[in-house]
Amino acid sequence: MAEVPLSPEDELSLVELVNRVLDRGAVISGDVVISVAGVDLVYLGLSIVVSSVETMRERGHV
Amino acid sequence: VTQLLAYCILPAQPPATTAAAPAAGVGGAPVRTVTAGELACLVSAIDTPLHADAPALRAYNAVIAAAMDRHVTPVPLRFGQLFADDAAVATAITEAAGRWLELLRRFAGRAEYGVRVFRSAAAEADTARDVHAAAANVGSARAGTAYMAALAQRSAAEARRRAALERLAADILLRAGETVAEARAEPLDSEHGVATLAHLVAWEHAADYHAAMQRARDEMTGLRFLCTGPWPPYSFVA
Repeated sequence: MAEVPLSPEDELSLVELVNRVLDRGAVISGDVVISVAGVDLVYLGLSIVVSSVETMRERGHV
Repeated sequence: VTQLLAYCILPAQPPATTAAAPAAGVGGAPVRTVTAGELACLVSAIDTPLHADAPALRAYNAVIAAAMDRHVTPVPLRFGQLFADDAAVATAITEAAGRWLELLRRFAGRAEYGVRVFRSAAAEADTARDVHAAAANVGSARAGTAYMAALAQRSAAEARRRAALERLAADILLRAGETVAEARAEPLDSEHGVATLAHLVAWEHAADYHAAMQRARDEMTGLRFLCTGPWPPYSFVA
């Protein structure tokens, strides 16, 4: 994930996105091969994002 | 290897819905439609292995979001479903055609909104923290009696969290009135987290829904709300 650092607002939208796109959404059929690399990296970012949401709340942004 | 990445399922008619979708999908390949009977699926070619990084997830969601309009709301698919060719996509969506058509009927004219509810740091009981603490005790208890007691405490903490979640979800739904067509609620497992709520809202009720959530935010002291949307209805496919 070679990326520029995200602003808190971007991180917030990213955590909402990750939560939906990877955890929810319909699975078409049982025998579909789901081949996702790099998921661990995204999830690693998730806990950071949740704590950044807390920080935003303290700053009164949310 | 090049495969087809599937994004969402749409009604085959009207075909105009795909015109609004971004021309390019994940990795830059053009998005196109595979049709099978009454259903269609948006796909794009992609080199595998597929990487679930932030740009890919954003591009993926953008394709689905762009396929939403006032009349048609697609069934969003979980990221990462790959197919060898058009025929494989068509076969797969046809297998559960009835399920997809029913979801499309439920979703038509509606979108998902998300509400994450946090307890203010100063507020009384933190039910999420209680569950974690109780679970940790279960992990460290060695003797039989202590273990059984720890299990009972964990179970009680989980029940309190579930009850608090249900009260909160019901309270917010009451405030939202008839603007919410369907709702989902689950515990929010983070510090001060109380609930992750998903609401399915008709486009014509969106403004009233926003106003209701704003009032809830103002009136429900001790809680913080993070509202997002509209989203494709990822949380309502089950």
